[in-house]
Amino acid sequence: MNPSTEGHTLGVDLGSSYVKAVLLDEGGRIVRSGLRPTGYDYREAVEALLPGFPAEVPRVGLTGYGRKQVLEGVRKTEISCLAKALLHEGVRDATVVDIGGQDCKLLRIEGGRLASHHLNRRCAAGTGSYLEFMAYRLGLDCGEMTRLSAQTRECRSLNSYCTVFASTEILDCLRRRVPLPQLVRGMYASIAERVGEMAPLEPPLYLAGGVVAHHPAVTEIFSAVHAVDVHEAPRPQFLAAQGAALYARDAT
Amino acid sequence: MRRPLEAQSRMKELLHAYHRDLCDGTGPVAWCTSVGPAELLRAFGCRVFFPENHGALIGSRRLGGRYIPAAARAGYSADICSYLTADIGAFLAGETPLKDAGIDAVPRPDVLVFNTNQCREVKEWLSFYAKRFEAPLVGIHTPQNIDEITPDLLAYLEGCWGTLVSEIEGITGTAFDPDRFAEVTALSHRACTLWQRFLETARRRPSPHTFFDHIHLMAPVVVLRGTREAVAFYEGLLEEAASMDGSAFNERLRLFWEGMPVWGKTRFLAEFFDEHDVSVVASTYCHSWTFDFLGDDLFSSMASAYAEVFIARSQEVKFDWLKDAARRFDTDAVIFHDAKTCPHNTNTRYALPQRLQAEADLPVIPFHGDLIDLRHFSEEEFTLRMEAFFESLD
Repeated sequence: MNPSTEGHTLGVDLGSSYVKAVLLDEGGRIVRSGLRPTGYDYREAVEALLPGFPAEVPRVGLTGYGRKQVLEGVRKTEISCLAKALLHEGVRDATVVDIGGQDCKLLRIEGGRLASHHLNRRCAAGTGSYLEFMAYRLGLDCGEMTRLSAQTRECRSLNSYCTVFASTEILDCLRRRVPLPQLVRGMYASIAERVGEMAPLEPPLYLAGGVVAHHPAVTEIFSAVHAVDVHEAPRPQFLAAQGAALYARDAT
Repeated sequence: MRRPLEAQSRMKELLHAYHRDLCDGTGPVAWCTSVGPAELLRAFGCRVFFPENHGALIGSRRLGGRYIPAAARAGYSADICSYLTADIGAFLAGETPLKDAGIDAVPRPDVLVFNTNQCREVKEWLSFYAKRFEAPLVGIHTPQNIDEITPDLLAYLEGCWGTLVSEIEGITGTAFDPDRFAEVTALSHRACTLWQRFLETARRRPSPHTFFDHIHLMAPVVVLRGTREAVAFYEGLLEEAASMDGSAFNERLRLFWEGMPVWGKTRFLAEFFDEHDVSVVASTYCHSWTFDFLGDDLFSSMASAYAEVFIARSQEVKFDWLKDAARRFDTDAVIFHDAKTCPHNTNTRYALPQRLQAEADLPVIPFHGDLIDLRHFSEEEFTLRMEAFFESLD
């Protein structure tokens, strides 16, 4: 074994949009992280990602939708991993919203343990796929959406129940010359509104997942929509991978 | 893995004979809702066919995706009961899963009889066939959301039953025979009692059988209630259960199932829970065919029993029933099936799970699915929900 990786743990989050990996040192600190688009084959994505990490990490934790498909290690759901990582960060009571590529998870941590969790209904609305679809229809990227949303405090309310109908609604708004910044802000707000239906958003509220990492405006708009203080979780896109690594560390 | 019950093979023969009799036997054919007045119809000498059973057969064969669009094209929305849409779609396509039993088509009804104790959709469902076959449609309009069975409600229902007897007499041309009715009712009561006693054997730890056995073994108490064959079957099943040993099974958690089965995913679900050392030991669904019919007045006790079914009751009654049953079976949590097209047998939509968790200290886990329409169920999503839930209970 390479002495420099002894005591290290690797956490891999095999998500629907990205595969994320983090390397923890003995103290549980992140010493390296990386990600690759999932594409259509988890194995290929992992093979592209892991060369950036030491080859002989003794302990591996796996999470995400693909956690059973590649590699060997401790397998845990991303819901438990998110809670594990936040507990490691000293958060013992919180509501956590993880907005990922294909689903949205809401979990409640109470007294240092996972108390309950909810998933969105089987629908893209309220997930990263919703934003990806809208961005594609409007020809925008994440950075442009963030900049546009910062140009206004006004928000054009959009259909939060169906991605396809919402895009039709946006085309209609554009024909009626509704300013684009209001529409972009409306897209973010529709995600916040959709999440607000899942369960009570008891403070403190933490946001995690790739959407928050790539669309920082979501945190501010979440706070505005629900009138609560919202914290962006540390390294939001890598939080579940970190939790997986912590499970692997504690399993030995 | 638990070994399959020997009763399963006997049941296949029993159901095969039942379906053959529907096709080749004598006497009028009555179509009846599954929690409908089958005893009365059998007392009139009818052969009784249950469209819901037919719907479940379609679902078990994962044919909903083929038939539901056909019903939708005919105006029956894919958002309404998928038993209804799958069954009507199969009829419009001229197909039936009964072909496995050598039967080319569902038996032509002489009368169709409903009880709205489950939902109003059953009446809409049977009325489609009443028009198609130009056969009379009669039934009992039981109200929904019943809190307690009051004397006024019982008097109303007894009146409905009295009217129904006259209507069936007129349709079949046969006079009502109270002795025959008492005989059939006693047989039905006996089968229900035996079925309940069998279900109660799942209180053992580890349970020797699970919900995924029950949803198949319940078929005779649904379609053969009021016959000697059903009684004999459940006597044998109870005897087998007495000798069953579940001790080889590592039962980490015990769950109570609320709501409809996901027909078409029963193998996946059974294997999923087995792999996680979790037993689903009891359910509101399978306990719905445990009627107590034997009061001083048969019509009164039958009217009452059919109104007491879980699905027809108020949120308060459902809360108490679930709390008591989940404890009686020593379950660790309640799993709620939010069936997209079955609002009446879905109990996640009026905060019942939240109440059970808060007031009865029972962990709950809902999931999205459907009884037939598998477009509403995702194995991936189900797995994530459940595994996270199990991890949270560890």
